[in-house]
Amino acid sequence: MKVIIIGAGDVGYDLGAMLSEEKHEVVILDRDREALKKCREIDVLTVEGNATSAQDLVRAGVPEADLVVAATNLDEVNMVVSLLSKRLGAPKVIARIRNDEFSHPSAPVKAADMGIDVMIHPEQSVAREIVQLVKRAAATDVVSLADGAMQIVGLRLDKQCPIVGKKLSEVTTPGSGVVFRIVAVYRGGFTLIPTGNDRLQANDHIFVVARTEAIGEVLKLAGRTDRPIRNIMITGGTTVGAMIARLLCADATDWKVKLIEPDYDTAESLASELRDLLVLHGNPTDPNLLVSEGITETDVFIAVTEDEESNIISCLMAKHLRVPKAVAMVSKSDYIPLSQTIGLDAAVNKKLAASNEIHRHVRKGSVLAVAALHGIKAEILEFRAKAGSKIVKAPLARIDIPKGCVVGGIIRNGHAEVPTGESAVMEGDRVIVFCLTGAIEKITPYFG
Amino acid sequence: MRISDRLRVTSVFHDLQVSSKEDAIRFLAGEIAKAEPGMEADRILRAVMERERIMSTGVGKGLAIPHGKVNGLNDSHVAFARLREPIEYGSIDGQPVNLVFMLVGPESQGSAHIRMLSRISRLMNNESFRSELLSCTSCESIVSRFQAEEQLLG
Repeated sequence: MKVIIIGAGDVGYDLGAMLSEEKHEVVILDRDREALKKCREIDVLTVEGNATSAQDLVRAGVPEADLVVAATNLDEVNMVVSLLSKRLGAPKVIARIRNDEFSHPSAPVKAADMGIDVMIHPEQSVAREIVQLVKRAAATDVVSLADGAMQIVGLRLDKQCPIVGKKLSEVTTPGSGVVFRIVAVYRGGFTLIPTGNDRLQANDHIFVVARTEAIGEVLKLAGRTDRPIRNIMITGGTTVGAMIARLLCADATDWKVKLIEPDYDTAESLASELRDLLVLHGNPTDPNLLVSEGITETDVFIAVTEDEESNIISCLMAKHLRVPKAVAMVSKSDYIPLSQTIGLDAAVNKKLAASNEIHRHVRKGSVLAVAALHGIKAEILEFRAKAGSKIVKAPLARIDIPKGCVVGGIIRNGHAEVPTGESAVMEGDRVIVFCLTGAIEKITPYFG
Repeated sequence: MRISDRLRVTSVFHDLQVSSKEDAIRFLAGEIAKAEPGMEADRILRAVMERERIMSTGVGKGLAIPHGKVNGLNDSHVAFARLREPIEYGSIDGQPVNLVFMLVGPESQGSAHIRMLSRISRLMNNESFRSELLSCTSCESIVSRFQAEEQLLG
């Protein structure tokens, strides 16, 4: 696949690195020579040019591209890039647009009018992910699947956990009435896709898939319950911080949300916009302020300042003060294993969120969606089962599914189910598969 | 990436006597500088103190993790000290500090730095491990305790 990325910033660079590693042909255009120089470390072609010049876009190869990604820092530039690229014949255009005006159903001008097929908004993805984590306080990770009908949650098993020492087949007995599946286990630095004979161990980080309404029951089985949340503290009124505050305030619960922001104007404008939010003008990296503002009574601590190191350190402090849940935002893709190594509940990665969104549009064929799980070497793929494909031939137990893969969900006519060995996939079903990164190529042909 | 692989008997101090936060950091910066020819201890001190100014790394329970990225450094270094007398550190829980783990790394290796920082954090987050460290009577036993503890992390 030929992909032209406009903008050699963080998103462009990370996406370029990821796609070139997967052997796609990648060209990155930017007018900043220094930024391009950095891109030469990864296996991509670089073109120095102006994003809003049709001529330069032609020079970068937009007319022959399969996909154009407009990933500059400016909405306006990305819009122009999208318009021009569509005119130049690019079949698919993805643009990073921060202004959410265009996604409203009643918007007078829609994204498609500007030649944009898919809009991505990394900050919004991160904010949503963090809010999901707040709502699912017992989990370390939450990923929504099948338009929200299913969820995958990450759980860390401590010694007291009732399922430690048990075989998977004992844990997931059909008689219990709760249907779920443990699709991945992160243990001692390795990710494994377990079978029924594997035993769970203390310190395992497990990933469980179930229908969304059953997740609460799954947590109970694992000895965890979603504890009631009252106090939430957010450090940093950054784009992400403000979005989290908005989402939390819009939720009809009696959460007390406090946000600490060092810049007076930002703090004031947030305070006047969100009346349910308590905004404090102060330094979020001042431990004394965190204490005097009640970090010890906080149920969820969310560190989303621009300074990643401070986010981590303040989350550690929160953990030491026995705050039940601490979430840090980091933004370098290498930091992904953080939530595992740090013992934090979650570290949410801004750039991974963006790349995930873009990535799913790059894979061809029957793959509908792709998401990566933070810190483990497994991916969630969503396929559409084609007529006559290998996967529809027999019940799952009789199909020789490649090692390192597990079917975690079947969605038929909008209804999602966690499959058993007797379940059979039918033509047209959407199928959710978890697999180790190396096994993706092996499972894809099963779907036609 | 193992922390204990970087921890040498020569960079561990089991009974360090210092009177202040800056003293402790200056001492460990000096010891780390010895491992890199041509590196000035002062530069390490400044980078670490700058980080402390942004946010105190006294994370609570008597532990501090001073750290910094230092221009001109070739490799990451760690040093650990158990203090004879606890010192005031500006910690979040107001408690004095008696365990100091310092990490410095090259400016250019930001993500490795964060990863090591998080690994140290995870190691030190274990209460029983911290109390074991407090009862160690030699640098050798501290190093081997770290090795054993990190083995459990995988």
